[in-house]
Amino acid sequence: MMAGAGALAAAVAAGAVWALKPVPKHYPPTPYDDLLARLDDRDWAAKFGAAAQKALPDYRPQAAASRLHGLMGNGTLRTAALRDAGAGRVVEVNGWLVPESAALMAALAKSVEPRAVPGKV
Amino acid sequence: MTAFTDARTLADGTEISPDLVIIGGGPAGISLGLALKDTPFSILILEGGGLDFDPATQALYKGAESGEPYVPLDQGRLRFLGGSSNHWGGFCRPLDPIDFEERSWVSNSGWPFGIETLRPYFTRAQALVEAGPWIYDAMEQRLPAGGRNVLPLGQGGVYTSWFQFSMTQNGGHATYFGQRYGEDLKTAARIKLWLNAGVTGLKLSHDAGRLEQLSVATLDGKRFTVKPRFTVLAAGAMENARLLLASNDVMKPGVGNQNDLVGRFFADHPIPRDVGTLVLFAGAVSPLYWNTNDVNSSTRMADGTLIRAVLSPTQDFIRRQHLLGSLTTIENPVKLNEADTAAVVTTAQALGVDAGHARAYTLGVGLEPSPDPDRRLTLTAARDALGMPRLSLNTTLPQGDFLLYQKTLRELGRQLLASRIGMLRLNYHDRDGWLHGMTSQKQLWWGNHHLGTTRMHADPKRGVVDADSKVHGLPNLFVAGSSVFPTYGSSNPTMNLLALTLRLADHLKTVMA
Repeated sequence: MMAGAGALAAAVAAGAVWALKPVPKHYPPTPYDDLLARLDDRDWAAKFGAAAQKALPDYRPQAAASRLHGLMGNGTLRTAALRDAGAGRVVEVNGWLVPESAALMAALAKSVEPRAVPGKV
Repeated sequence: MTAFTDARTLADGTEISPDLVIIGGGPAGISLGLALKDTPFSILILEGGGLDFDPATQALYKGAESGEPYVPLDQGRLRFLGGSSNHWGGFCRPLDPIDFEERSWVSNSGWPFGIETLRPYFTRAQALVEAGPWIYDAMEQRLPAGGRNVLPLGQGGVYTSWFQFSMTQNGGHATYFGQRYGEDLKTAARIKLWLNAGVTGLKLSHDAGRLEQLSVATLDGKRFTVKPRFTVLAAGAMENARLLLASNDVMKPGVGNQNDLVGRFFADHPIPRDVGTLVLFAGAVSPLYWNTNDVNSSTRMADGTLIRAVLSPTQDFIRRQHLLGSLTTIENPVKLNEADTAAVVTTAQALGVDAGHARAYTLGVGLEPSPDPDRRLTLTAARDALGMPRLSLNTTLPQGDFLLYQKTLRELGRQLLASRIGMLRLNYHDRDGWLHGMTSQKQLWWGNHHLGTTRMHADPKRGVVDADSKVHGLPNLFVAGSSVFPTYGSSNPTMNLLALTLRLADHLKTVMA
């Protein structure tokens, strides 16, 4: 997936907001893998996900997944995101205007993000 | 050639009776004089300042303020030959057709005529500001490579529009009307120009049926009387109102103020900074959109015309969404923090776009304000060195105007996503945020475009001047300049007010004959 924070910081300092290409990464199974598999980079989506969860009214993972299935069907996230933008289904997340499907996907990625276990390194 | 006359060298008590007096030697006054120079009329231009900036003269503009923060009244304008053109940025763009229409969702909106009435004068106005050929409407065809660097925003309510700049002179700055046209005025046989001649009163006949004479004064104590057949006020929206209000010996509310409209509806374009953050996934924005505060960084066409792209709501979008006009500019590069980077990366990947070279920029805007009778100029008890009452300005800044603009920004954000070229962040959501954008970097971000204080309307109860720029009820007093704009649009006013002035010149040729 993404390289470390140092590389990202260097990219941002250079003025580019994202200068790194994703590489494949494996995650523990979740109830929403059919959806999350359509994300190229779940880690970055999860970073955005907490804000997306707050921006989505009454956010609950199951309802979000259901909504995403409705928006995406068996299609790609790209198709759904473009369809959202075309139809004005745009969500404001921390001021950023993003397609609803992108916000839902980010929120879902955050919901299933592996959490650190207290007391273990 | 007739040299200008410094009024301080005239004999005290001098009287003169020209056919036409133009009060004010700024862009409107100078252009009006030159437009009439080949007529048989004798013309006197009364300029309140000299040939250069002088602190004592400029201090005549000091005034009081209340309400929202606004530029001090002696700082947003200049009192010497050429007027405020001596510090303008040179931004030119015609008003839009919708700016002239009565809009049901904008109180007190609409002109007494449409843009078709001004259109015949635009080419000459454009020549006066030296902004190159009129290519606002055909810019993309004129650009190298067919304008491929224009943002492909696709279908939607926001499109790329264009500024042209009054910056084609060799000096590298906008056309300063006093410098540029001073010699033309001197060679005009029937034009006299007095410098340092402050008009302190408009004297009406006893029945208030016509303007009979003007009182003129200098800072060294000279007093003169001018008895013109016709007079045009062209001293800017603040001084036009001040002179009308202060001339209250016959008409107690002031000349032309029988319906309490003089000084009301003052307007300026708020130009808040950092209203949004624009990210372009493919990298740096085209120089077409770049910040041209530095003339050397703006885009110059092959013929020398300077241009800048700007983002505007379409007329149809304004109508459907009940908006005001706005011109959004792409300003400065900005770095994003990690949280914002996550927003960009997530959105780009959702759209299937590589954001590896993405760049972010701040957005600024020039907003059309809604007409507001409570945003007004009034007189105070304080007097300036010529004995004129000083002005007080009450500024309002309706939150509703900003919230309407957010609809335009949201549409721009949607279009960026739909066309897969970028995304946008709204940086302000409440009144405090917007005010921050108006006062950031220790500046007050106003356009210094003074508008509306002698508004035009066919109905005397709703306007100070009629559709011919004549003060209602007075056959021989006219007003030139943006003080007559009853609705403002978002375009910079100078080139537009010149078109209106040239139209007035044609009208005067008829009525003065």
